[in-house]
This record gives sequence, structure tokens and C-alpha cells, in this order.
Amino acid sequence: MFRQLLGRLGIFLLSLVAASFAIFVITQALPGDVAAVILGHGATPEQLAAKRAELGTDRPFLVQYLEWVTAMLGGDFGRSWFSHLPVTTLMAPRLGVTGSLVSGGLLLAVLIALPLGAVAALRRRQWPGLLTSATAQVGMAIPAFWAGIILVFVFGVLLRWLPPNGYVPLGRDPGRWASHLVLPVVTLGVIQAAVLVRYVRSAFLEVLAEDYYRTARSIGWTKWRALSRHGIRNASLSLVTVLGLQLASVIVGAIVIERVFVLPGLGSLLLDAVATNDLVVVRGITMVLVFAVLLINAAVDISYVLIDPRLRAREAS
Amino acid sequence: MSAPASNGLLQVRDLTVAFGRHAPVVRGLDLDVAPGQRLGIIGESGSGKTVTALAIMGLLPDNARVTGSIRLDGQELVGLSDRQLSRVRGDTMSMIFQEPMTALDPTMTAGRQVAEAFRLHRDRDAGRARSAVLEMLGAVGFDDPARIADSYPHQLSGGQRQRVVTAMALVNRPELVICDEPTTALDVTVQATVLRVLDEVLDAVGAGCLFISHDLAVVSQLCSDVVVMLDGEAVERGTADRVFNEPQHPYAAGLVATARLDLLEPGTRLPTVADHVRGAR
Repeated sequence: MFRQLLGRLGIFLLSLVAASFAIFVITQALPGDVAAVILGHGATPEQLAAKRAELGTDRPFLVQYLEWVTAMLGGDFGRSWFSHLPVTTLMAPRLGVTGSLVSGGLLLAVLIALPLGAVAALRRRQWPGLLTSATAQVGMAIPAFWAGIILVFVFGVLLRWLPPNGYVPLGRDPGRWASHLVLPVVTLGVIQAAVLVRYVRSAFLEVLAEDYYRTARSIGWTKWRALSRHGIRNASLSLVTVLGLQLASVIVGAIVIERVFVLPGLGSLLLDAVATNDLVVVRGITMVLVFAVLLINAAVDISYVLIDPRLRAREAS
Repeated sequence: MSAPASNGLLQVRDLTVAFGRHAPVVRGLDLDVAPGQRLGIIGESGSGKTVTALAIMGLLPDNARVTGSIRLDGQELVGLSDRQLSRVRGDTMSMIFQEPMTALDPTMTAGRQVAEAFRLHRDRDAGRARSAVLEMLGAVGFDDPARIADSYPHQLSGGQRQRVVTAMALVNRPELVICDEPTTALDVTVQATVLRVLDEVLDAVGAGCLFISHDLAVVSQLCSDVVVMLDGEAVERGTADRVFNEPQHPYAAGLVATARLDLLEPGTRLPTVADHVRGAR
């Protein structure tokens, strides 16, 4: 158990190093001289050279990379080239926004996909199952930003039930914080649920063919209760894997949705930084997001052991 | 060949089962089991034995079409909803399946799975369920019921799992236990133990039994009466002794001949069922 945990930690750290290097290479290879952007068209070559020296972009690639990594290990993500504020200061208030959006979206996706996946599996030959599967197919094809715009239009503009956009910090007013997050979370959750339903359906279909499912029915569980009692845990082995992988697309979805709903999250900060070529900020945010994805996926691998007692035994021996 | 008198525990009349648009796999089957009686169903793979068992339990897939009548204690089971049947399943009737290796949920301890059956029908209290489970695990021959109860299926052998499944089926003292080839997947040495345990607990509980097998020797050990099935129909029925000693139908005679290899002269070719059935089908 301990050895496998160490091994998993090793994979996590290696992926983190590889990701940081890739992020640095890609941001470095981006076209456009930052010094030229900052100084504008009228700048002389001397001024440009001085600005590059100030930013550090004139030094060798590896030196820049190692400096960036060592600073990050000490909690220093650098300073924005434009606002001159520390990147951590820029990110801190936005982490909570993106965090609640992503976790709320994932949670809602699971809460929608589990029962619908059960319907799609148990009623697969009748119209409720076929309708669920077909709706999920359509849902997958809907872009998140379009769904967001439609929801804003219906619930924010036409019905005026919910604020169409904006954000209120949790600490200031929990009620208004929640009301501002409902539409973005629903948008993200419903779209992700459409993807997840298909996986839940096929995982449940496998359970339905299992002998232990039949045994469970033979002792007196109905089809539905046998599935919820013995299916969810067995199916969750493959579902947590899917969820871990889906996290990346949920984060991408969150970035788009923050734009649609004008939420001050990491996503809007990232898009602003990309627009202004503020590479320090882009790298910092990407690193944080990559860190979150890798961490969750490591947690997923470790959770197998909690779900499946057979893996526990294999590690003990 | 007339069906025995009714007013028994299980009464199956004119049972026909078909899947989708295919020809029926069970045709016009009659069965009767009296309280405490043990009836063996013998037949080769594909003769409709398991489908019959699943039809009685109401566990056939959705595309199965079941007609005829299945009465348990006078209650008609054909046409009942899944919810209505679930009250009967595990309570008045239960089933022991063929594959002990996969019949238990791998993520749950053996004891919790046996306890589920008890708590569903008898008593929701966890403590009383636990003592009923330990008692039943003792009855199926475990010396250390507590350790078995706390084990996960993968920590148990095939024979142990089949005894756990037996405990699950019998913990509520059902009136009818359907056994679908319960020893086929087990080693020969383990088979004997499981059969002896089954024999004992069926007696202790006083349950009637529908015992499905292709093995005449096993059936004759456990059952007083036998039905021989071929291609979805009953071709012979009678006491186990009578069918074993004076089979009437050529197919039954073939089954007996292949089961009584001890009667063969050394050096002669081994008999097959086909030798007897050729021309008779």
C-alpha cells in the first residue's frame, strides 16, 4: 500500500515537471515580443533591449525556466508585466470563484447523470431509456457558451428569476453569492452530465449483466434498488476514472462560462492575460490549473483502493 | 405422464417461454412440488432447465415472453410486477446459482450480503441480522462464521462462496429453494461437501426444492422425484428410483446409461446419449 502510494506520488511529480516544461516552452514560443507590445510602435531598438533586460526575456531559455520553477516552489509566481502586481495576488480572490464553479458543475453533473444513466440502462428498450440516451446525445453537441447564453436569456432576462451575470463574494452575502452561481453551475453541470450519462449507462449495463446483480434481485431487491445498492459502487470504479479525465474539460468549460457570465474567476484572468501577452500571468494560471487536474487524477487512482477491496488485498500481499 | 395432484407448494401449468420473436425454449411445461418435496430437473444444456428456474423466480430478461401459470402457495406469479415479485423473492422462494465465483458482490463482505436478505424480509435491526447471519453461516458448515462474515468474496474459495450463497438463499427459511446446478462449477471433492450441506440445511429448514442438474448421480442423491427435460419439454417424470432403474423415454435411458458406467463390460465403447436417442427424436 505504502509503496504504491509512493509510486503514484512519483508519477504525479514527474507529470508536474513535464507539464511545467511544456507550459514554459509553449508560452515562450508564442509569437510577439512583449517588450514591443509594452512600449508600442515608436520604441527604439535601445529601449526595446532595455525593456527585455528588465523583463528577463533576453536570457537563455533554460535559465529563465529554472528561475521560474524555483521561484514557484517558494510560492512566488512572478509579477504581471503590465499591472506589476504579484500573480498570486491576482489569482487569490479568483481561485474561489473558479473552484466553486468547477466543483459545483461536477457535483451537479454526477447528480444528474447517475439517475438518468440508470434510466437509460434499465429502460434501454423502452421510450424513457431511448429518450434519455437521445437527449444526452443532443446535450453533448451543444456548446457550453451557447447553452449559457440561452439560460441567461430565459432565466435572467425574460423571467428575471436569477441575476444574468456578475458575482458577489461569499463573505459579503451568501444568498446573493449562490444566486449568481446558479446559472453558471447549471450550464456547466448539464453539459457535462450529457457526456457523463453515456458512461454511467454503459457502466450500469455491465452491472446488469453481472451474476451478483441477479443474486441481489433473487434475495428480494427490485431492479432499481439492486442497481443502486450493488451497482453504483461497482460502476464507480470506471466512473471515477472518467470523472478524473473529465475534470480537464470541465475546467476548459469553466473558462468559457466565466466569460459568458462575467465571473471574476481564473478563466477570465487567463483570457485577459492571453489577450495582452502577459506571459507571466498565463504561465502561473495554467500551472495552477494543471496542478489541480494532476492532483485530482492522483486522488482518483488512490480512491480505487478504497472502492475495491480486491486491490487492497493485492497490495497487502 | 399425467401431472401429479395439485394443492402443492409450487404448481406450474403449461409454462411456455420465448425470447423475442424466436421459437419458445420452454413449451407447455407442468411441474409440481409439494411442501418439503425435492424435485430434480435433468436435461442437457439448452433443454430449458435454467430458463424454467428463472421464469419461476421472475428473473428473466425483459424480452422474455412467459405464458401459462406459476403458482406458489396458491399465488399466481405470472404477470406480477417486479416490485410485487421482489416481496416473494428471497422470502418464500430463493435461488442458488451455478457460478459461485461471480454470484457475490466483490465490493461487499459476505456477511453483509447474507444480512441484506434477512433485513429485507425479516428484521431491519442490524444486530439481530448479524446473529441470524452467523447462525446460518454455522448451519452451512463454517466453523468460524464471524471470520467468514467479515471476509470479502475474493478471500473465499469457490466452495466457501457457494456455501455463503446457500446461506443467503436459506437465511429466511424459504418454502421453496431453486438450485441451478449449484455444484457444477466446483471441484469434485468440494461438490460432495456442498451437496451434503445443502441436503442438511434443506432438511433443517423443511424447504421444498427444485434441483436443476445435468448430472443424474447428483440428482438421485438429493431428490425423491425427477423430471427429464428435452428441447423445452418434459419427456419423462417419476420417482428418482423408477427413472433411474426403468427409464421409459429413449433420452432418459441414454442419460442413465451414461451415468452408469460401472455396469459396462471393460473394453466396450462408452455409450452416448445419442446412441439411445437416434431415431427417437
